[in-house]
Amino acid sequence: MKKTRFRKVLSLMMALALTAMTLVSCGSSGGTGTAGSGATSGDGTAASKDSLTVVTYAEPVGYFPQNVNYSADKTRDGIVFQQIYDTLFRLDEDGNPMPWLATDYEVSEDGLEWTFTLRDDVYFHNGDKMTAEDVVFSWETALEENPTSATSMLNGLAGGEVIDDTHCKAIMSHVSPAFLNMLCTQMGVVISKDYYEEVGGADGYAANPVGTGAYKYVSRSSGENVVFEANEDYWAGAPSIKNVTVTVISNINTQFVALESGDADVVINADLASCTRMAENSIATWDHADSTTRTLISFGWANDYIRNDLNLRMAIQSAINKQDLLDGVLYGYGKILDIDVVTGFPTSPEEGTYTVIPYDQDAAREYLANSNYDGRELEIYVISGSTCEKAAQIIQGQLAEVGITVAVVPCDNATFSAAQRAATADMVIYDNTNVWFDFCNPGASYNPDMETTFTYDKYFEGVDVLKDYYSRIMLEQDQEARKQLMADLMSYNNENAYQIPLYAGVNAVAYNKNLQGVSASPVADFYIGNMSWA
Amino acid sequence: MLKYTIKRVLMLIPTIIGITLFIYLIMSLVPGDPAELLSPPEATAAEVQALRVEMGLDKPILVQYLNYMWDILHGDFGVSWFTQQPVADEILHRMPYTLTLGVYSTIIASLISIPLGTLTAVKHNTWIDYVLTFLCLVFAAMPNFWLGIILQINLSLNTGWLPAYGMGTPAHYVLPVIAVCASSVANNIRSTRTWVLDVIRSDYVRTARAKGASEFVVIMKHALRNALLPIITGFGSSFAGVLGGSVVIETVFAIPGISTYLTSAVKTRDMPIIMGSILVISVFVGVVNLLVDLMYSVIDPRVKYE
Repeated sequence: MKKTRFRKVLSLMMALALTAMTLVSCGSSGGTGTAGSGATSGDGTAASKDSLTVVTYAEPVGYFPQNVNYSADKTRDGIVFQQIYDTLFRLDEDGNPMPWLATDYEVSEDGLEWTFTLRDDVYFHNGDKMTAEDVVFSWETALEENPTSATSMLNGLAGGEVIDDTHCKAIMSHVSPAFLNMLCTQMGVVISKDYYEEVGGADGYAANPVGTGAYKYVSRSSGENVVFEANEDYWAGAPSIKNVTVTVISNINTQFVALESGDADVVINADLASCTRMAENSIATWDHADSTTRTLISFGWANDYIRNDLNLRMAIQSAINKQDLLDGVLYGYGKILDIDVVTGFPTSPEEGTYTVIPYDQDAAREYLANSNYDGRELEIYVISGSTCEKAAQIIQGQLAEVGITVAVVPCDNATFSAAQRAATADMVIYDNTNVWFDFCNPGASYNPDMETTFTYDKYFEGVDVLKDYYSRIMLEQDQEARKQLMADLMSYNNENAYQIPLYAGVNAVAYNKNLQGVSASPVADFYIGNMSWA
Repeated sequence: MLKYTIKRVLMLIPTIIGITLFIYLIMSLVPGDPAELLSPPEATAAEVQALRVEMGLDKPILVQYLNYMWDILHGDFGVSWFTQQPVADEILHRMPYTLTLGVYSTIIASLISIPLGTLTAVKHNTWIDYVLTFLCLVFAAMPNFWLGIILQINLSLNTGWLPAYGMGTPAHYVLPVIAVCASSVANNIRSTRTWVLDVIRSDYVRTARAKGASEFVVIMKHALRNALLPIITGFGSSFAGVLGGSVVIETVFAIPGISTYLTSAVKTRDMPIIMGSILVISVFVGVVNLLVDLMYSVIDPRVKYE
């Protein structure tokens, strides 16, 4: 009897001890950073610190910028490109191109020739001076080695011409009002012609990249980190932070433990939920900016019950409460998108100039009553584990309220990509990233230059109208006229429920409070050369 | 013994062919086209098809598999479809991290669990037995990723005693090793307890005691040694499990090991990485099992291999 009671008491005590340990751990997860290395780097010794550990979620893959495949690479590889390389222009805080390696430019009257004046004091990390020959070579390399992406990301560029060491000309196949914005992307960086030839091409270049940027490449360890050191001869002034390690940590919890313990100094592309949970007394803080990445619904045009039923598409469009999506997916941050263009672009139409389909459940029910919807379960494909999956679950509930049955199908990247390209899934929800701060990345949707894998017979019947709008926007040089064309295109999109814009995301960066010069960027730019320790 | 070893090594070949063929078929039959995934959104159908041909995906699955194995026989593991990096180099770079984690975990787990398992058996139905059995239940039921996070918060974030992530110094291994071997220690203590208890009740142990042998000699020489065979088998399985199954721990502690490499490749259908990693893991698991089997004859002279 006594023995049994002893056993019970012992078990209870141990259970209580375990629970207490767990609660203590969870309770302190907000991170006080009061001890250990966190306190060291977070407080007293920060002034003498000249190194930086940046946490990124995925291993950078591209080291040779002209080989980047598509815009999505930017969030992964931008951390490398933006430190090692420079572009002729760079986006300022408002998203406008400002001179960087170029000091001035002129456009010919027909818009087919852009003449750039270059800085005369720029050197590559190997000591070679940057000249106009390098700039033209960079463009030509992009066009030759990566024509598909170059056609999109340097749209209109046909070639280049060297005038002298500090002047060069871009020859366009058609006018391209957004060319300066495009030159701000990774496809617009300047590489060294001599070094390219010396190392035998892109592979050799990528193995040991050389640019004109604020940091020199030192080393990389697969799956682990990339190391940079300051370029003391940088034309814009030597960076304050001398040594940079970009560490790959995919687990969100570990990212923030590392930051709040002082093992890391910055988390880029930071998880919004973790940022909002950071304690006041943490050694870290965070910043955010409305992103140019849009989250959209695209329809499965291969299915006639979608393609031929505008009322069903309109019912879906009217039944979605986008504020619920912001609250549920982005914790109230981000911006509702009425059209497929974020605000702040030079081509963003003014409010009131385009048609908006408001959230209206009654209207949705009316559209549905007029549709051919037979009660079938519609499938929404999303990439498993993404924020889109959460959005799909919320939309599933919203559509159920008006009588549309939906199944959410989380899938891997390859399955999702196949369904999206073939337009076989009834709906897909995806993030679309802008690479330049002008017209939303049209990709395959609007661009008439692209004979894409989307097959026309399965495609939206008004696709030619969309493409016509796009080609006119692309060529129109008058900014106001471009805005109006954009407004018309967006109205056409909404009235025909071509795709449903949901919201623009948030770019967040979490960082040590003693680090200065950190700010989140709408296009996820992250230049370490601007930063310093307090 | 040598004959047996050679036989077992040769038996690895059909095993590995079976595993790789099975994985290749499964991955090839899953919906989705890697060529489309790797193509930029603006790629034309012709460009996607060209990439498909370049990757060899236009050929029948069996031909693709045979081509792959032919390359393997020539020492060519291929390059990653996604990163264009040689797979063999990546595996060589990452395998040591996973192996080190596995070796440390197994050694520490055996150093802890064999003595404690024996102790619980010897002190059967005493408070020592109850406490250890309770702790074993707790740790066996505890998900290792959860334990990893709790350890990070308590021993890294709150106290700053140990690094929260990465590899490099011995200190970096402490938290991941604890997280990996916690459940393994718990399970092995329980299995050791069971096997030693079984042996303790046998006639020859009773005989040893009757002969006047000390309790220490009885336990160490007569009981534990006879109970070691199944215990060693358990450790072999644990070690093999770490090689291919430590993805969660590698992710939580940002260890650039083979498991995370394999898992991220599965998400992008990067076949050369998937196949290369599975091939290497299969070989290691096969060799570990062989070593465990060979250890039987060292531990127990009654075991003979013909």
